[in-house]
Amino acid sequence: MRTPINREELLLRIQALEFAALDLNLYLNTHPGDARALADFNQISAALAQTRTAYEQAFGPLMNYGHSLSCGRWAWIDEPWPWEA
Amino acid sequence: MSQDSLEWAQAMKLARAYVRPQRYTQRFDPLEGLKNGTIFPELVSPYTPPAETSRSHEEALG
Repeated sequence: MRTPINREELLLRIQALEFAALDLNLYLNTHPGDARALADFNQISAALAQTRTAYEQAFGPLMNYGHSLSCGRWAWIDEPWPWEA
Repeated sequence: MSQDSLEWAQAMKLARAYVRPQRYTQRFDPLEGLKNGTIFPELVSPYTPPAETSRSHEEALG
Protein backbone atom coordinates (compact mmCIF):
# COMPACT_ATOMS: atom_id res chain seq x y z
CA MET A 1 0.00 0.00 0.00
CA ARG A 2 1.34 3.45 -0.89
CA THR A 3 1.99 6.00 1.85
CA PRO A 4 -1.14 8.06 2.62
CA ILE A 5 -0.57 11.73 1.88
CA ASN A 6 -3.61 13.77 2.82
CA ARG A 7 -5.67 14.18 6.00
CA GLU A 8 -8.63 12.14 4.78
CA GLU A 9 -6.47 9.26 3.62
CA LEU A 10 -4.51 9.21 6.89
CA LEU A 11 -7.73 9.24 8.93
CA LEU A 12 -9.15 6.35 6.89
CA ARG A 13 -5.93 4.42 7.41
CA ILE A 14 -6.17 5.05 11.19
CA GLN A 15 -9.81 3.89 11.22
CA ALA A 16 -8.90 0.72 9.30
CA LEU A 17 -5.99 -0.09 11.61
CA GLU A 18 -8.13 0.59 14.70
CA PHE A 19 -10.79 -1.76 13.37
CA ALA A 20 -8.25 -4.48 12.54
CA ALA A 21 -6.76 -4.16 16.05
CA LEU A 22 -10.26 -4.35 17.58
CA ASP A 23 -11.17 -7.50 15.63
CA LEU A 24 -7.89 -9.24 16.47
CA ASN A 25 -8.36 -8.13 20.10
CA LEU A 26 -11.75 -9.88 20.22
CA TYR A 27 -10.26 -13.03 18.68
CA LEU A 28 -7.38 -13.02 21.16
CA ASN A 29 -9.81 -12.70 24.08
CA THR A 30 -11.01 -16.22 23.30
CA HIS A 31 -7.73 -17.52 21.79
CA PRO A 32 -5.02 -16.01 24.03
CA GLY A 33 -2.50 -18.70 23.04
CA ASP A 34 -2.61 -18.03 19.28
CA ALA A 35 0.93 -16.82 18.56
CA ARG A 36 0.17 -15.80 14.98
CA ALA A 37 -2.83 -13.68 15.90
CA LEU A 38 -0.78 -12.10 18.68
CA ALA A 39 2.07 -11.27 16.27
CA ASP A 40 -0.41 -9.70 13.82
CA PHE A 41 -2.11 -7.77 16.63
CA ASN A 42 1.24 -6.33 17.73
CA GLN A 43 2.23 -5.50 14.17
CA ILE A 44 -1.07 -3.70 13.54
CA SER A 45 -0.91 -1.89 16.89
CA ALA A 46 2.60 -0.64 16.06
CA ALA A 47 1.43 0.52 12.62
CA LEU A 48 -1.53 2.28 14.27
CA ALA A 49 0.70 4.12 16.75
CA GLN A 50 3.02 5.14 13.91
CA THR A 51 0.14 6.34 11.70
CA ARG A 52 -1.43 8.27 14.58
CA THR A 53 1.88 10.01 15.27
CA ALA A 54 2.24 10.88 11.59
CA TYR A 55 -1.29 12.34 11.55
CA GLU A 56 -0.81 14.34 14.74
CA GLN A 57 2.50 15.78 13.58
CA ALA A 58 0.88 16.99 10.35
CA PHE A 59 -2.66 17.89 11.45
CA GLY A 60 -2.72 18.26 15.23
CA PRO A 61 -3.95 16.16 18.15
CA LEU A 62 -6.57 13.43 17.67
CA MET A 63 -7.36 13.16 21.37
CA ASN A 64 -7.22 15.45 24.39
CA TYR A 65 -6.93 15.12 28.19
CA GLY A 66 -3.39 13.73 28.03
CA HIS A 67 -3.73 11.20 25.22
CA SER A 68 -2.02 13.35 22.57
CA LEU A 69 0.97 15.69 22.79
CA SER A 70 0.64 19.31 21.71
CA CYS A 71 4.12 20.48 20.74
CA GLY A 72 5.07 24.17 20.66
CA ARG A 73 1.54 25.53 21.04
CA TRP A 74 -1.93 24.49 22.20
CA ALA A 75 -3.46 22.94 19.08
CA TRP A 76 -6.55 21.14 20.47
CA ILE A 77 -8.80 24.18 19.88
CA ASP A 78 -7.78 24.45 16.20
CA GLU A 79 -10.45 23.61 13.67
CA PRO A 80 -11.49 21.29 12.17
CA TRP A 81 -12.14 19.00 15.11
CA PRO A 82 -10.91 15.44 14.53
CA TRP A 83 -14.49 14.24 14.00
CA GLU A 84 -15.17 17.07 11.51
CA ALA A 85 -12.07 16.48 9.40
CA MET B 1 -20.35 -27.13 3.07
CA SER B 2 -16.88 -28.62 3.51
CA GLN B 3 -16.27 -32.20 4.69
CA ASP B 4 -15.00 -30.75 7.96
CA SER B 5 -18.29 -28.89 8.58
CA LEU B 6 -20.36 -32.00 7.71
CA GLU B 7 -18.56 -34.01 10.37
CA TRP B 8 -19.19 -31.23 12.83
CA ALA B 9 -22.87 -31.18 11.95
CA GLN B 10 -23.25 -34.95 12.44
CA ALA B 11 -21.68 -34.81 15.88
CA MET B 12 -24.17 -32.14 16.96
CA LYS B 13 -27.25 -32.87 19.06
CA LEU B 14 -30.62 -31.39 18.15
CA ALA B 15 -31.93 -28.29 19.92
CA ARG B 16 -28.50 -27.21 21.18
CA ALA B 17 -26.76 -23.95 20.32
CA TYR B 18 -23.16 -24.18 19.08
CA VAL B 19 -20.34 -21.83 18.31
CA ARG B 20 -17.65 -23.52 16.24
CA PRO B 21 -14.16 -22.64 17.40
CA GLN B 22 -12.49 -20.29 14.94
CA ARG B 23 -8.93 -20.93 13.79
CA TYR B 24 -6.89 -17.97 12.64
CA THR B 25 -5.33 -18.64 9.26
CA GLN B 26 -5.62 -15.46 7.21
CA ARG B 27 -6.86 -11.91 7.45
CA PHE B 28 -7.83 -9.02 5.20
CA ASP B 29 -5.70 -5.98 4.66
CA PRO B 30 -6.99 -3.40 7.24
CA LEU B 31 -8.82 -1.28 4.62
CA GLU B 32 -10.45 -4.37 3.15
CA GLY B 33 -11.45 -5.48 6.66
CA LEU B 34 -13.05 -2.11 7.40
CA LYS B 35 -15.17 -2.43 4.22
CA ASN B 36 -16.23 -6.00 5.06
CA GLY B 37 -16.99 -5.38 8.71
CA THR B 38 -14.54 -8.09 9.77
CA ILE B 39 -10.82 -8.72 9.47
CA PHE B 40 -11.50 -12.47 9.03
CA PRO B 41 -12.45 -13.54 5.47
CA GLU B 42 -14.26 -16.67 6.78
CA LEU B 43 -16.67 -14.47 8.77
CA VAL B 44 -17.89 -12.40 5.81
CA SER B 45 -21.57 -13.21 5.54
CA PRO B 46 -23.70 -10.40 4.13
CA TYR B 47 -27.43 -10.80 4.71
CA THR B 48 -29.64 -10.85 1.65
CA PRO B 49 -33.29 -11.41 2.55
CA PRO B 50 -35.03 -13.96 0.29
CA ALA B 51 -37.64 -12.19 -1.88
CA GLU B 52 -40.35 -14.71 -0.85
CA THR B 53 -39.88 -14.12 2.88
CA SER B 54 -39.99 -10.34 2.68
CA ARG B 55 -43.28 -10.44 0.68
CA SER B 56 -45.06 -12.76 3.13
CA HIS B 57 -43.73 -10.54 5.94
CA GLU B 58 -45.41 -7.53 4.32
CA GLU B 59 -48.64 -9.54 4.00
CA ALA B 60 -48.47 -10.50 7.64
CA LEU B 61 -48.15 -6.84 8.54
CA GLY B 62 -51.25 -6.12 6.44
